[in-house]
Amino acid sequence: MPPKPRPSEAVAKPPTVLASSVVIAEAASLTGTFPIKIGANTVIHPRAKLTSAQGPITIGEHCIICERTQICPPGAEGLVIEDGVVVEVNAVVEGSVGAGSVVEVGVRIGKGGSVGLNCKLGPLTKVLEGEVIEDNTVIFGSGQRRVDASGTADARRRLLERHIESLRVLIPSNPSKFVN
Amino acid sequence: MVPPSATYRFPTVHISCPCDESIAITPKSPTKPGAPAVPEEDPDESEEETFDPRAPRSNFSLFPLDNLLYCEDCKQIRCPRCVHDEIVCFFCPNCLFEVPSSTVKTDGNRCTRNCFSCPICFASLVVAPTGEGQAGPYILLCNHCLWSSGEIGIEFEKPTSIAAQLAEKLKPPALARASSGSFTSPLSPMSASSEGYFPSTGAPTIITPDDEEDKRELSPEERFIGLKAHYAQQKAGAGADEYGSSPGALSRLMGLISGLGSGSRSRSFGRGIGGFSNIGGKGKVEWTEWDAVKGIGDDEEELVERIKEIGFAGTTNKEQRIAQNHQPRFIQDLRPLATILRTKRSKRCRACRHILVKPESKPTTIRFRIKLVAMNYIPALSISRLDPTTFNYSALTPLSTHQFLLTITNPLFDPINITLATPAKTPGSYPSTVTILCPTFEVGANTDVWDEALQTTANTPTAAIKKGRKTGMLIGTVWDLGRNWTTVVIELVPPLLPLPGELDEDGDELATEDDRLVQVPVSVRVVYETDLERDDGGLGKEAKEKREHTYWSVLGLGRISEKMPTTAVEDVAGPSAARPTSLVSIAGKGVAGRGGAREEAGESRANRHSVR
Repeated sequence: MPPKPRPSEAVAKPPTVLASSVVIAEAASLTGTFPIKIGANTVIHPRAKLTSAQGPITIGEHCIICERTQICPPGAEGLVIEDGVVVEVNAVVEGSVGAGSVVEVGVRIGKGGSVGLNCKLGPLTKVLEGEVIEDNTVIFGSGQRRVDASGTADARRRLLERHIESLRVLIPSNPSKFVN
Repeated sequence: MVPPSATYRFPTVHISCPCDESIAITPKSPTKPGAPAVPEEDPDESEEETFDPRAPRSNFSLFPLDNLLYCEDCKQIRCPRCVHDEIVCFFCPNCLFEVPSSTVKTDGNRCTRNCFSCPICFASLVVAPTGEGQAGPYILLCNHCLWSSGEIGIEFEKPTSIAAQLAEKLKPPALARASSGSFTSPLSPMSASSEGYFPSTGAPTIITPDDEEDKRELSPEERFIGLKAHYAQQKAGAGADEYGSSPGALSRLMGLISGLGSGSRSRSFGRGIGGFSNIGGKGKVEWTEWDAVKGIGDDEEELVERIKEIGFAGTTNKEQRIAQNHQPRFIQDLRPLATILRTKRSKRCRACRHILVKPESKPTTIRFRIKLVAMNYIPALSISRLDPTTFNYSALTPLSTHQFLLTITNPLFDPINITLATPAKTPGSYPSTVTILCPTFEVGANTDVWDEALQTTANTPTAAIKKGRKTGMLIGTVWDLGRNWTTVVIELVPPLLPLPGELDEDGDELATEDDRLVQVPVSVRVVYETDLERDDGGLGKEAKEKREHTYWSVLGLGRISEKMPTTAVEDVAGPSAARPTSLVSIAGKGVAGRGGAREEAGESRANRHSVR
């Protein structure tokens, strides 16, 4: 079987603002018409999909967006991922995520959902459309929820920064491809 | 009654272990069906009894092939019931540290190092520093749900030997007092409830404290540690004086020597608990059940107040509660759970004591030194549909012919001859009609996969055999065959059952859910010649030995639909024109005599063994 032809590069690039220290892999896909803004020290893995066809995307500093994630704003009001957020493999994010939160593998954040600060969405959990998750909430297992009182947010942030430093070495970055 | 169709998985193939026929298994008298049978054995004899998958005992002897072992010395299948487990080693699944069995006896079956699991979500906890850098104090943190031991106010000074630190922290103040010397009796606070538990002949000499403070309930840990100290004290006392000089020590000794009878054991137990001077009690003691239910009673008000305060989110759920020793009602009372140790086990044949499975004793290796699984010794059966269209196994149309493919795969390095036998009608009050179109055939040897491909000459014997797939379905012809597998066709005509609502005179349902399941017992007889094993362990190429193995398997072919067969007549005439005409007449009879199904069942008992 011949390899699938790659989608043509002729698709219009969205207006993109990348901070200088962003690590963005060449195979990441940024499409759409609304602006995409990515803050300093953020890592975008290969095959991450950021689609700004419906609204603008804003990603803060020190974030990690893993492969096979889909980030698509639900409407013109756009979507904001604040500082220090990790979006793990295969997550679908259609709502805003507060600073320091972790969106684990296969999570779905429904359209217009809103996740607070320092939340943790466990693997394969769901946030419904338009649902608001309070700060420090942990969703785990089959949708059980609890309030995180461990006070480890700072430790997690430190760990995240070290994680980003190691990814900086591992992922070849090519921001020039995405800037027009 | 709504049938839980979603829970069924069809088709199923289970193999019957014959161990229930010979409860006292001895190597000298091998059981009937699977014995290393003498060649030229009368085939009728081994087929005396038909295996009935609906018999109550059958539930316990049917296993999927992959659950079975095989004893090479008995030449017999071994199921989990007829093997004997032996513990090879204890280890912690978290740190893979091997724990000696003596330590397990003294310290219990939980990891005594740093391994804990989360009391909320049961994921394993990690030791995390809370101070700057990697400095302490340390907490146990769950990386999954972010629970930390800080939430219940427990922090550790150093990151090692957490278990010891935790035990020290959880030690209640009362216990510290008890261990410091003013120990009275561990049983005192529960003596009210335990009076009926300990036999009255023992006349426990327990000092009941008067002060109100000590009457409060002890935690299980406190009680355990108290009892341990109590026994240690007794043991020390018994060890100090000469044997026999203390009546308590004597009775304990007597209990040990003649200890097998339950009466004597319970007597000595009663004395051991009760006190030190009760030798002339009655011989027989009466035991009454000790009611261990913890009443909420007095502190109920308090509990309700607390729930009001913290809300539903602060209470534990069932799993969290059961996992803890003290069964707390509130999240705040949860404790980190030390990881329960696992075992590696070897398995022995109960009959000949030979080892069937023996893992490596190191927890870090997953290799097995010996592993005799039945899959390597007896042919595997599998079922599929002849017409692989959209077909629902859990709704078989009654009175129409269903054709299944039964594939037999040979794991042996010698070609085998298979004889399949099945009762013409399945056991049960509503029998289905079953026909195996080709009951006797050969299955090729399990040779190297590449042998066939690398052979230059293409005249393999398989090419000479007529395949039903090419020639059309004929009686006595296999459907398809390959290197080490052969497929034959099974035809099934399910009966028409009364509807779920229909009741008989006694008000019982005419056809239960169980009657709707089609379970076909098939006896598989395997005959093959193999190289004779010499005494020195090598294989004698010149001498061949004929071996035979017979086992019953039960094919779960599906579930009969409640729907009336509106198109049954077309079905019968339509796709399966090649089916034997006798089946049509049977099916027709089923339509005519629905009430007569029971008579038919009785009648079929006579001609069960018509092997086509």
